Amino acid sequence: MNGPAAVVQLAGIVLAPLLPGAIQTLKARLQGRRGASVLQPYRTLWRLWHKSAVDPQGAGVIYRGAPPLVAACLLAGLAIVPVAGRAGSFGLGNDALVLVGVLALARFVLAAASWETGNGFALMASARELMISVFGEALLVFAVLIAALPAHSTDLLAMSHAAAGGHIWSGPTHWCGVIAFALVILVETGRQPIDNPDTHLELTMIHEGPLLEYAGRDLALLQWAGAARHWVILVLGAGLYLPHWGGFAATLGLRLAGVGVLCGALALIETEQAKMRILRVPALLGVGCAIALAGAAMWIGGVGI
Amino acid sequence: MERAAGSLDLDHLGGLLRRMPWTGGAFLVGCMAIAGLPPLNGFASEWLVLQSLLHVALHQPLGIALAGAAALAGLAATAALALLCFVKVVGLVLLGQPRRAECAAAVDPPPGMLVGMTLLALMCIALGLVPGLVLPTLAGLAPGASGATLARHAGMVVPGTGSYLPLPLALALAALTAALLGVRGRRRSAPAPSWACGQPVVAALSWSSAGFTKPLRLVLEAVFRPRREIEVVRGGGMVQSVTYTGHVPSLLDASVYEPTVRAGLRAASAARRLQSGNVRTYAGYLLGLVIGLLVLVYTGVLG
Amino acid sequence: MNGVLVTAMLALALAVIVVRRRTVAIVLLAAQSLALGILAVSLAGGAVVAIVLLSKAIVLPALLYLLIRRTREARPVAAPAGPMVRLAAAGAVALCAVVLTPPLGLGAAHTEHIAVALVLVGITIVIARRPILFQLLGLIVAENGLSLLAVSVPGGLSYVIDLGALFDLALIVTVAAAFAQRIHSDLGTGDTELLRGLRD
Repeated sequence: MNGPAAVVQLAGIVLAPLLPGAIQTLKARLQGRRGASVLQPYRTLWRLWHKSAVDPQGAGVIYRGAPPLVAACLLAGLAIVPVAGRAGSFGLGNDALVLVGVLALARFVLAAASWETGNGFALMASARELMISVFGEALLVFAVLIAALPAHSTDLLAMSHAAAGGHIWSGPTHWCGVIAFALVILVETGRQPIDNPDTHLELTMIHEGPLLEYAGRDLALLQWAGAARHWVILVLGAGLYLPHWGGFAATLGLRLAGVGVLCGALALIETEQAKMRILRVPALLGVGCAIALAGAAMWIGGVGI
Repeated sequence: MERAAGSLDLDHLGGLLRRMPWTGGAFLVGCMAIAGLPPLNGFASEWLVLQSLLHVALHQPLGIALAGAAALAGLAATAALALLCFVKVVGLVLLGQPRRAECAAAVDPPPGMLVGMTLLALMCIALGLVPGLVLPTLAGLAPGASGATLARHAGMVVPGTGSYLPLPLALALAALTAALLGVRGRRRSAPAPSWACGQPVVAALSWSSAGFTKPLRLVLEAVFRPRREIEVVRGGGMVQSVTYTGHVPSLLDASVYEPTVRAGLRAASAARRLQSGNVRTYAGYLLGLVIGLLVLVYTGVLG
Repeated sequence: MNGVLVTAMLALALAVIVVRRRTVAIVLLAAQSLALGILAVSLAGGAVVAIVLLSKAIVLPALLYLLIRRTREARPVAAPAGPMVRLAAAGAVALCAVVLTPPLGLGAAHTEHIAVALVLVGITIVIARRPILFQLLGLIVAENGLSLLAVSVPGGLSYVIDLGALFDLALIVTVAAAFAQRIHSDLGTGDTELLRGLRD
């Protein structure tokens, strides 16, 4: 019973780079260019895998150990997030807050690695990313709360089941949850208006900064980790906030289609929005928190259940 | 570290992990535990507190539930703040280039001093890996705990959550990291200078703690109202020295504690006028009190 | 007969406030303790009670008399107000106690009221008279009031309580006597109006 679900979760390892590739292609088409193919990230990973790495001055254990550890954290995250309402029993549980913790571990390790080399751009980017994460974590936890309200549990499986069917959309709470989770997706994937993933200017980098000092296989692992972050958060969003019905196969098909829709939405948002002033981002996230709190209040107060 | 490096000022340490591996390692474990990272014990406690606040928001009536939700978000934000703070501490103290000569020459202290630290770090790790063994005992101590006890597992299998299993998580992380290290293979690497837009990297370019927290300070300026003074001394048309002093006043101290303390002291000095020094006056107060209480009882005001 | 004894105790306490000479006050206190002893013996009986109360009637006043002999006042200590005013004040306090005391459920209502009145009059003695001895006497009068309450409990209280209270009182009186001698030798008089150090 859990076999197919486990297979799909593990397939995420291979399918994850497809998502940033799809978003880039869609963005290019929307901007009137042809753009790279959807499989471009795979080619980039292949190319990076065959290049040599660098040893910046001051590189030590943490610098060399960070990319595998970050990738391992994201792999654990892949195992925790259920797909299509089922999860293979990898023995890690399916708790939403554990997922938040694992992502925080990845963030810590990467920031520590940027301190080790002392690269100014990496540190600046880490400082900004951690500052945004202060508000992003509050927003993420609010989104988890809203998803947990119908399920009375933080188990991601229970949340998926509670979000099944159409009745949950009749009240305003789930819509508030959608808005909050949309902002969470933008924060976690590092897309505009919060961060520009296409930037080459080091002074404007936020989540790309710590990657500046890496090359070769290390950089390949970190790029894969970025793609896996996309997969984790988009699959989670599709599972909680896109309606679904039917058995496992039908739900799976709907989920994957939903992930595709979300990629399209991300491409649209990126094309439409310009990058926001970084000091204004907490205000945006604060608005998201307020909307989420209002949604939770309405559910608890009994409005529209 | 103070013994080895001679100073505890964050901006004057650096590079101690390589020179004092045991101390640095224990320090790193401690910082990661405080920052609430899995699979250490800090995350286990934080997970429990977050879960309890979330369940307050799930099961209690409206007002309390909203307070619980606000507290939940506040705690999550605090956890991220702790992560920022301790990444900064780890980076400034353990990593990077040493900022003083004493740091470059630092060595691990004698084993007597290492034993305590290492023991505590091991306890952090041990408690983080099997928190479920302690959990039923703690749950039984809580006020209002019913007779039902939690089953004793190694991980934390709590009803109403998706269960946090740190031991499998730690093993998975370790195994996956080792596997990826193996897949990465022999690391062919070339030495290269750190990228600073082509400039040579000198010690003056290394980051300080004020720099790392600047985005946060700018965002929270309206709340904290930090005070900064920058003094630029010029001589002969050129800048000779720049002195920066920054200070974040504690809002709670200034607006809550100090007025309360002042009011309390004022009330105490007003009450001092009651002290005449003579024991008969105090006996008089006692008599007045007793008769007053009797009157209150008689008139039925008191039980 | 019991009612008479009880009222007599109150009257003796009021008299302690009025009298000028310390010796007379001690005699009055001894009489009060004796009355309490007779009352106790007639109500509850028992050898222990008798011993306790006899010691209160004889031993303590003897101790206090020794104290007076050692601390002779050179000049008479003036009272804060005249004897009539003191009596009126004490009488008012006793009246308050008698009227306001709620039923405590420990014995006859009359005895309860008088007991509380004794306690309050004892505190009044502490306030109204200045020599140290009278403060001690006020304390003993108050303690007599509590003993009256204890004695009037139907069935009597355990003799351990009585012995404990006696021990307590003996300790207080001994310590206070020692202090009184010390104050007298330091200041030359036992006037508590001169003692103003009990402050911050």
